[in-house]
Amino acid sequence: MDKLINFGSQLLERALQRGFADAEVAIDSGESQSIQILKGEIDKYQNSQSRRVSFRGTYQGKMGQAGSEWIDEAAIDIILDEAMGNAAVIEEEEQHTLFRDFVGENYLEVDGFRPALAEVSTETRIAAALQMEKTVLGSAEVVASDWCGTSYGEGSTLLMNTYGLKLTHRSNGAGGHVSARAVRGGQTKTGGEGWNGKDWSDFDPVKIGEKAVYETVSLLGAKQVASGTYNIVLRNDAFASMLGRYSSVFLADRAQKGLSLLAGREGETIAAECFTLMDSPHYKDKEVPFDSEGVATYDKAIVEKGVFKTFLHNRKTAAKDGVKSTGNAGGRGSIGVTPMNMNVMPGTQSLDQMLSQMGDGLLITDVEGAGSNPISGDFSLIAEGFVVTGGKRGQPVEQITIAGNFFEFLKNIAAVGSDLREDCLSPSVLVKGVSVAGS
Amino acid sequence: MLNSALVKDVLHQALSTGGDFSELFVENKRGESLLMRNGVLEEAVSGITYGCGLRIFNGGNCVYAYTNDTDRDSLLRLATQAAAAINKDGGGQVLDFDRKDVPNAHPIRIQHFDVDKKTKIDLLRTAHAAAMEHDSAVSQTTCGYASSVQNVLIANSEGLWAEDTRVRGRATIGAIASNANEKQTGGLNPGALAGFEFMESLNFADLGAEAARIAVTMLRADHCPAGTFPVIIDNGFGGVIFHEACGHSVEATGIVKGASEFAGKLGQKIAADCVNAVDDGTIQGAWGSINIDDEGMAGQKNVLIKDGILTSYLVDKLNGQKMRMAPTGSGRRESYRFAPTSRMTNTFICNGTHTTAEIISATEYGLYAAKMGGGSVNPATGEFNFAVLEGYMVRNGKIAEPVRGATLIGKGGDVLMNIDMIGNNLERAQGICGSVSGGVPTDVGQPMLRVKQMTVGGRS
Repeated sequence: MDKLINFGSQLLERALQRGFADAEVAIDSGESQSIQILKGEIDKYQNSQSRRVSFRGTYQGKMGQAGSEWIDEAAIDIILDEAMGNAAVIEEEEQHTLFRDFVGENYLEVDGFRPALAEVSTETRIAAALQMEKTVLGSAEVVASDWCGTSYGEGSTLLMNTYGLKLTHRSNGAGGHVSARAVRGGQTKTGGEGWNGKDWSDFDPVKIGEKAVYETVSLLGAKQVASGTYNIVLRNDAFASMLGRYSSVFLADRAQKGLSLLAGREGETIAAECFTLMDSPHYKDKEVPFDSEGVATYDKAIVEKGVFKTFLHNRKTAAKDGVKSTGNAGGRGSIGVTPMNMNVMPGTQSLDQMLSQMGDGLLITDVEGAGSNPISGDFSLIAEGFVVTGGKRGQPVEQITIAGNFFEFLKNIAAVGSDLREDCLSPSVLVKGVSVAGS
Repeated sequence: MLNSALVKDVLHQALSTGGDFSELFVENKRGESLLMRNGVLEEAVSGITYGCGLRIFNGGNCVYAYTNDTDRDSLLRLATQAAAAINKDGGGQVLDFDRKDVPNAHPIRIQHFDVDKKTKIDLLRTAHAAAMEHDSAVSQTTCGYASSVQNVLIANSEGLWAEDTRVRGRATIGAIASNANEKQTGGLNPGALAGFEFMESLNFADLGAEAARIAVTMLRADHCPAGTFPVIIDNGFGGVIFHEACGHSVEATGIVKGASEFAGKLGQKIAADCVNAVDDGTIQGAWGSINIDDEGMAGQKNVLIKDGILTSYLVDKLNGQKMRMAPTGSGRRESYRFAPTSRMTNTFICNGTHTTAEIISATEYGLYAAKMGGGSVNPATGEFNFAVLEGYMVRNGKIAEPVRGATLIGKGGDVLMNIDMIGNNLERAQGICGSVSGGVPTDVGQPMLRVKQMTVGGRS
């Protein structure tokens, strides 16, 4: 790290010498290990070390930027030449600026690095992966596990600028994922399950394996249903997948560029009253203390009880709208806006209670595909799940699509479940009147 | 990029615990991109990707490690750490390097980096202006220019020493058409394994106008009906159907695990008799072409399907050993951060015998997908989905009203068998294909073709 800090300091110093009015350096470095198992053996073992320097600076009134993984004194002038060349062609009136009013920022004090997690031995990580695979292959109808593995990663960020800002944050995390492939009567189904976290003792490889088997085998015998309009319960992970496709509608940079239909609609009701959407950078074990510009982060409602409260902002978009940054600057080089941890506030009903409330319809457990347009809000996604009759889960369903418009979809949410899933921060939802294409 | 004595020492150290084969991939890539929104240049980005990836085979298993610290000490440490994952007797041999200069089949006339940024920006402005002029409903444009020069060195313990320089450029031209309540998009993204001469060969005004035409047509279109009926898919990016529904399923990555619907089907009929398909990495200057692959092997042309019969898989070195099949020049990776595996290059369905007019007029009722969007596939089950970017209903043998929001879903094997007419207007289009070894440039392609029946997702 010292070598990297030294390189960063040199880069800042040289930038000022070469005529930059100010300059900023972000250095991201990390290490990771991943282990993949196939048929009881280590199929692939991977470890990595990586680092990258990202430079921004104001040159002749314009923000120029360049990045490099080549950390060498010889790279310094190349980086600065590139940044100057980039600054020279920017035509936008509103410029990004570097963060200088950081005194008094209230940074969350958190160490995202768990030494105990780093100390979990490679042997333990291998054993956990083997256990997941063994559990999955133990099921009679599972013919293979095409993907099974565990991973560990740690990373640190250093952000500093010529105004004296100097912030660091480090974190680590681990994960385990397993897939299953099951065959019955000529039909193949695949499914999987995973865990991500910071406390290894939360990871139960047998439970994850069993869940992967259930997710796969329960879909055997799936058929299409007739095309029509259905009420659906979108399971937590599937709803998170749907929300993720449309997260950009809540970003101020997209709105200011005319790419969000929510532009100018703060304070309006845009969703059902049961729907509250947060961005929670301080969510336990997923903490992000500062954003890409060095602004302190905080938790806030994006949509509260159906009312659209705020776009997410970086300093540039906030200045344009005459508000304060929400601490959501994202990316390196070209600074954009990003949600840190988007989470849906859970409701009170269990998944089974929601199925009962729905009575007849579909439980959708997965949505896939490229058929979502965040600009128009239109979606048409391939889905699978189960027929629900009288509140009970029945026949599995495949090869259908659900289609509609995201903004109408938010208004048609009839209930939000209590079943918040930690790795996607979403509960299940009951939605009325969704268009389904099938047979 | 690195001297041969150091490379040899690293490869040797990697075999110190009994590995069978070691390979070092060194990369230094410079990239530049420009992004113009609504005629204003908003982003100018450049970056250097630099690092090396070390791979060791142990039987059929693989150890992979990468770093961007390429000092001698740190590379030897990387090799020692990677080798520690293998625990056998004896150290393997590293043969003397046999420097092979593969002649460059894709000569570059004008380096992108030698051309002034302003010249490139002018091209983008031409596209923007043409899009805005096309129709008053066009409200926004996004025009981008991206180019890169990737220098690679691939050396392995069998004595291979191969170096290559890959120069690519791509334009991304998009338009948005709006009315009071809605926005629709249209876009084109031509690219090539070529220098600035490729950009000179493009007509940016036409690209802008075409992107605008698609967006405006879709803005004025009604929702596509849902159901199962014949689908006509036009040429160019329509080939994404074959890429997703068949191409991924012939990659050795899935075949070797049996995780593909085409595993064990070489020599068998997997498609209608009229279907012929190839993966051809040798097309001069094509976006998906390669001079050498990322394992150091020269690119080649592989016939995948001949008259409906599956004739070849796409095979990389490691999976080839497991399958006892020769590699097919298909070992590719996004960067040093990924171990290579079998991937597509330029993959397309070959010309058939029908004219496009014959195909349309032979269709009583169906969907005509003029331009396809992206899609994805589960290779194990063959289940795929695609978005239709520009669609029309076909009624009584004629192209009728435009429809939007359609999705095509199905299973690869079924669709290949259900192709009943193939046109003669083969065209390729460019994409970035994402898979286990990252995002790699690929061409998809086909002539116009008709699938007897497909499930179309839309609003009923």
